[in-house]
Amino acid sequence: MSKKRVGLPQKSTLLRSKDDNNLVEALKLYEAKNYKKSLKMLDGILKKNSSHIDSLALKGLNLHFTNQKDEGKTYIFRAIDKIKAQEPTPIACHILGIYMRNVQDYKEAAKWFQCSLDNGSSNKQINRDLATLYSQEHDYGKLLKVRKDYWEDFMGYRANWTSLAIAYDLNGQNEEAVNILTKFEELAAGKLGTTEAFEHSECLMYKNDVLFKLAGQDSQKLEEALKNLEQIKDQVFDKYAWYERKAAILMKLGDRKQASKVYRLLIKRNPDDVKYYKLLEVALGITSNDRLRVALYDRFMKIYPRADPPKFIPLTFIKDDTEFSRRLQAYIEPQLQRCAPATFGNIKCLYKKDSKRMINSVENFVLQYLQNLNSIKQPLQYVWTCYFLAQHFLFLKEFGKAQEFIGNAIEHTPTLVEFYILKARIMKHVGLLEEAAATINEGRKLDLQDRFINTKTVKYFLRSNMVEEAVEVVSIFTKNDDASNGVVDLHLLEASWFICEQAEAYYRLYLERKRSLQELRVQRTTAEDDEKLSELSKLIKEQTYEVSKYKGLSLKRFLAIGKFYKQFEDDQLDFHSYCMRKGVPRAYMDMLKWGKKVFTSPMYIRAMDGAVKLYFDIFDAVEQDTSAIHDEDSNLKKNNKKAKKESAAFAKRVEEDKKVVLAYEKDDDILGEKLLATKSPLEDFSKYFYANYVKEIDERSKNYLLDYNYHLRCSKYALCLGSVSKLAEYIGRSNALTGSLLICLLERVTSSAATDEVTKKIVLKGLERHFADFPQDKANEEYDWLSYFQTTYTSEKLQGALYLYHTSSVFIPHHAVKTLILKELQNEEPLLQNQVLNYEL
Amino acid sequence: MTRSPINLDNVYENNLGTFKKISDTVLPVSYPEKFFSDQFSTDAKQKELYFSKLAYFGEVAVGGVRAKLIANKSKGVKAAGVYIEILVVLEPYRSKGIGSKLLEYVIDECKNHFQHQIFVHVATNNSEGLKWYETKGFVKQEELKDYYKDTRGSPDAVVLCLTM
Repeated sequence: MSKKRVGLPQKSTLLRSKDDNNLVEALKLYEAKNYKKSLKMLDGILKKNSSHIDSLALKGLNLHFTNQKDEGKTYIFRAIDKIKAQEPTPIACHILGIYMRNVQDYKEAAKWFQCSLDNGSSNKQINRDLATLYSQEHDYGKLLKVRKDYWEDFMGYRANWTSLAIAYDLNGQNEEAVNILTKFEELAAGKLGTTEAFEHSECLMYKNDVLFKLAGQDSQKLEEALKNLEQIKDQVFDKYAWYERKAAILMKLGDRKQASKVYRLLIKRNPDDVKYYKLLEVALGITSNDRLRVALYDRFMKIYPRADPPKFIPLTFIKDDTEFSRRLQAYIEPQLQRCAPATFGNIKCLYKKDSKRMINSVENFVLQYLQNLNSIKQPLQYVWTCYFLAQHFLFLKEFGKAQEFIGNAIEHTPTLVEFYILKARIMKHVGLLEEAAATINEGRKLDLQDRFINTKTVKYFLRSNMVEEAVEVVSIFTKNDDASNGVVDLHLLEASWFICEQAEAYYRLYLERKRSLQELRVQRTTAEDDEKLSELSKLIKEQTYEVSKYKGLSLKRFLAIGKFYKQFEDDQLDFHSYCMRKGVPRAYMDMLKWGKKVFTSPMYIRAMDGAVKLYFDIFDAVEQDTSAIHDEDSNLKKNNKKAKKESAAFAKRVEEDKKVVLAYEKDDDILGEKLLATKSPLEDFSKYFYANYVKEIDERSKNYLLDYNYHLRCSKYALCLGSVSKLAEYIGRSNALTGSLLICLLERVTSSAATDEVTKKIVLKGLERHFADFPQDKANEEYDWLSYFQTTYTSEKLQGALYLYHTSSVFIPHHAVKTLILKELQNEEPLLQNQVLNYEL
Repeated sequence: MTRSPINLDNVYENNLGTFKKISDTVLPVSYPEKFFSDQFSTDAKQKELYFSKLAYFGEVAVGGVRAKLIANKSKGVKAAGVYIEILVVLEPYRSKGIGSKLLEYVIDECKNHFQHQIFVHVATNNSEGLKWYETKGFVKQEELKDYYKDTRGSPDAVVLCLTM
């Protein structure tokens, strides 16, 4: 695709002015990427005629490509201003479109391309570019029109037929889509070579997709789809898709017998795919008859003795305890016998169902099995069984036993990397993060080229806030061309796992430093002699820098992840035409589906959850206007020379820091100071994360707590109420989080002077309607909110109390909540205990 | 036909850690990091000829050997031949022929380099080791007092020699 081509005007040369002739030259130079010469030519034109729109626009574009983005932008906007005043010209509009596309403003780009066409541009290629942009913006109505126009002009390419059919499909006009595809098939019949066979296969299967969708429950149309499927059988390469479709149609038609035959065939093709077994159960109508299911799987076990699902699936439904035990044993034993490291992973999901029965069976059998093993005669079986048991006890949170078993394994065979990973994991759960990192690092040293353990070690280092060590280890596997370490490369590689972990580590460091800064400030108020005072001031200055450094870096890293996902979304742009040319409409449809969920990916959400804490932190600080104590320097001024020396050393240190944490090659905000200096944290958060998320997330999986917090800070209390009632719907009314949110809301509404009466009324009315039991009338009287909170809300107490601790300040005294948290914390595992104690309280 | 679960493979710079781990686990003497990395020293002057292998049981590294060729130079203090610096097998994996296989490898290398003697130092209190070497045909020579420095075992060593 020629990304930057501007079609030359087709007007006859006679009608052109000299300026236009020169512009054509400049355009040619631009297309040859000869930006400098093009600029020179344009300057010539503009000298004579400073309001030549086409030249202004092209100059802007040239400047944009010669790294003078800001100047480029002013010229572009001058051109836009001129266009508003005068008649738009097709060339200028086209150039503006290209510019907008380059700055990723696809909506504007589409507008200008359209404008160019509307003003008589004869450049037909614009339609194609425009189609790409409409696809990217999901503007399917307009897409259909331009795809059609383009198709009419260039019928000789299959890609255009496919594109048009997809455009129809996207608009719900399935029949037209089928017609277009059929028409092309007829035209092409007998003329396709082997090179086109794959494209043909994909297009045929895509047509069947549309037919299937079109048919719905209509049996006649389903028959048609089936007929079509049989016709294309020999030409379709994706046999799995073909059989799956056949079975799906047969099921819909109610012909279960035939469908089951197809599923059996699919199982034969791949006896390790669980999906087909489940579908076969449905086809046979035996999903609720365990006896028949067991018989079915026993048969399959004989037919495919090496396949896993026939042995495993019965374990998920068998009710009889002894039978279950017997089968579990038969399932685990051969795996332990051949030392499969994943044995525990294979059965882990069975613990969820009937954990007591599972635990009993596993312990009865495996402990016995271990006892019968001779650690000398069957050394490998012995250690891997220990490994299995360690995992088992870790899962049950019996850390002591887990440690014992993994210790035995390591003592016996200290050269297996897996054991160190597990040992570290156990230590992590016990709360010994640094020891865990040291353990896994010990394992890493066994084999330096093992990328998996390298990555794991990095994660463990980051979890224990040892950022420098982590960067050092991770840099073993990066290129580190121009940078001192791998951080730049990891940004380039979009390694979100690392960047997110690093962001979280920086965040924890920020909290730690903030706490020690507060302690230092307290110390200073009580310090008496001068020397001590200046010493403290120096420490405070350093600590203040560290606080801001870690905070800035954390935010910067979280934002980096937001950027990756934005990039993923933008990356689709090329595929709107590429997929058509390659003839992969099915893959294209999958991509569109994926594209609508980009901003709901777990990693994006994790980064958003991290970033929001910082943005709220910035917002809350502005709100409270703590007017950060600025007197730090005053004490240092006394000794001028010394101060100068110190500040020079300090500046040097900052430069060193910058080198190490550099994330992008050219960056003017390495430490994220500009990000922190924002005056509008909530808007920033919305722009970088929240707006995208809200756009794509579905009702059910939305994070209503975040929603609530966001609205609370925007002072939109009515919306808060909406969030909390939604949340209560999903997590339950007796969940302590629901309670704490209600209390905080009532607190805000009733005790904040800024709340206007209308809002207050709306919220109180709403509370009455949605939460009739909630004692909102007690807001203005003495009332024991704490005991209300404790007795009414019985689940997830810790989470609720933590929320109260951070947000509420009026109804329930701070120290009381703290006591409650400490009490609840006693029953939690050490890892969580440490986290809460270190970073939440 | 069943394949023997015991295999030898080269020691590389990347899995040197495994070799060190086995050595540290089995031997009472703990050698410094540098001792192990000498093998991959790029310094031409210090370049010596090492023979080293890791022994695998199944796919697990359980033993290793490192021997050094001491060329027949007139000035040398040590006698000419091949000197076994380390030969170790993790305890649970002994009596499976792993040590023999490692020794076989050293003997082969010895022949390839036209040497006739293999030397080894064994701590005096390492009776299991001494017995093993003797069954392999090694003959006790002199005893060295305070040979080992940083060790949990006996500091005295016996020199054993296998002549071919």
